Amino acid sequence: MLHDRFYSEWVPPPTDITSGARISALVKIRIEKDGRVSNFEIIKPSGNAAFDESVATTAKRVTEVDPLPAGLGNGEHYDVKINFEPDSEQ
Amino acid sequence: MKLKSEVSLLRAKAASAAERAQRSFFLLLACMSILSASGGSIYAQEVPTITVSKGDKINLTVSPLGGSDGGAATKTLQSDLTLSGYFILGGRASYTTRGSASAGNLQGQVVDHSGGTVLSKSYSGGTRENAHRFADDIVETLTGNKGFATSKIAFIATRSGKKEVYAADYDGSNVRQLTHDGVISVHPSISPDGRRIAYTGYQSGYPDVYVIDLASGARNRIVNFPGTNSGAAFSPDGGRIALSVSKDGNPELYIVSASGGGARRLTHTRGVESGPTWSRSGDEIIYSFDDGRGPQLYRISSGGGNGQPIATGHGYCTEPNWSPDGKKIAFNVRGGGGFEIAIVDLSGGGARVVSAGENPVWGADSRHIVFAEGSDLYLLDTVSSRKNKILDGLGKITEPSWSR
Repeated sequence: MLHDRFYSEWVPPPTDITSGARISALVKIRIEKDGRVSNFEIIKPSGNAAFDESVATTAKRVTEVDPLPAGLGNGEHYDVKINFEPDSEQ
Repeated sequence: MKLKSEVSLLRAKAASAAERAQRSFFLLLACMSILSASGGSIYAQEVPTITVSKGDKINLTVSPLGGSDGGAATKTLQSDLTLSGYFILGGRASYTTRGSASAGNLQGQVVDHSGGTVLSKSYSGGTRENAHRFADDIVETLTGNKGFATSKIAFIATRSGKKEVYAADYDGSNVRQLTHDGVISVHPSISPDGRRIAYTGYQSGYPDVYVIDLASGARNRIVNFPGTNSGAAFSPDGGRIALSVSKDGNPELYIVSASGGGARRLTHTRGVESGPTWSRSGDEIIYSFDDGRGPQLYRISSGGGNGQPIATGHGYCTEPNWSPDGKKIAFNVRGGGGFEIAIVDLSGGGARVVSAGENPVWGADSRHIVFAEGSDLYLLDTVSSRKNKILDGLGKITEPSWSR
């Protein structure tokens, strides 16, 4: 499903680059009815260049997800925000 | 709040981090659909947010094991479970481990939050070994995935002043120096079952391939063709070895039996073939091929044929290592500041660089890699990107190999 696709495709930078800081990046994506990801926009960057780059790279890797279930969104597309967080236990 | 508590309840019962995340989002979607349908326009305008957190783990409490060896066993167990990448120790636990360890026996249980037993098993052997086996059973029971707590690594280190072959537990414990030849030894490859190590040694004056049996300590020279014999890699069943042999004038890939017999030439090119790594089934081999324009990854049937290039987007690719699940290749690329480690998914999507370092090797879970960086060995979780140093202080440590 959506979470799993982004979870598996997203590779945060090694922890020695982000120093285990509690950072996150918020993106907004648009999913078309057929599952195509038509828009991917970082609306709140983390401020860490390597971290934001890793999130942007994920957008290039996930260009299509499962088609929208009936009744979700306006019938044509569905907007959802995704908050990317590193491993908080580091 | 209701949503949160339902998600929490699901989390307590779910089998794996991935499944937990999937169920949470299904639930989220279902609830949002209901809100949209019944709540009117103010809900329909809201853009929902989902969180993709690499900290999405199973909460687990490790109760100190009782018995005379309980302290040491608990410490090993906690380390194994943390390094597995699947668990957060402590907090509001979904599961609790308990038991006792003494006199070469470990009795371990795992209970869920309602007190139901999900695992109960006895182990006999060394204290650390028992704890490692218990950790792997916990990983397999709660996530369905194979753990690597009982695995071994082989590597080259220069502590004595020369490159010698060493072995250790995956976490850097129990370091043993296996060769004391005072000549160069390189390219160690540990068999998938962790019982034998093949490597290239120069004690005859020429680079020949030797195999060490770890239990008996016996060492046999198995390949000594004229020229260079290097890059030996055990097949998944341990019965065959692929390697690079230069007796025909330039390095070509060969396959020999694990005892060195029945040599069969696999490639016929004017370029250099090196660093073979086997597929899970043993039907295919991926290797590095350099025709003078920089080494690239190729794949070939272990029965023969023509090698086919693998697109990586990188101009210099060496030391490939095939994940046990067959899906990914980790390999070296040359970056601006030295060697880097890249991973390419064989289903497509291009390669991604995950760290500085060299010689990546996959663990049994197809999730973690061990590699060398600087003079030390590191364990990297390719899902969370958490990186742990597992070994240092042995001079320069290079060329790790990891049993499965």
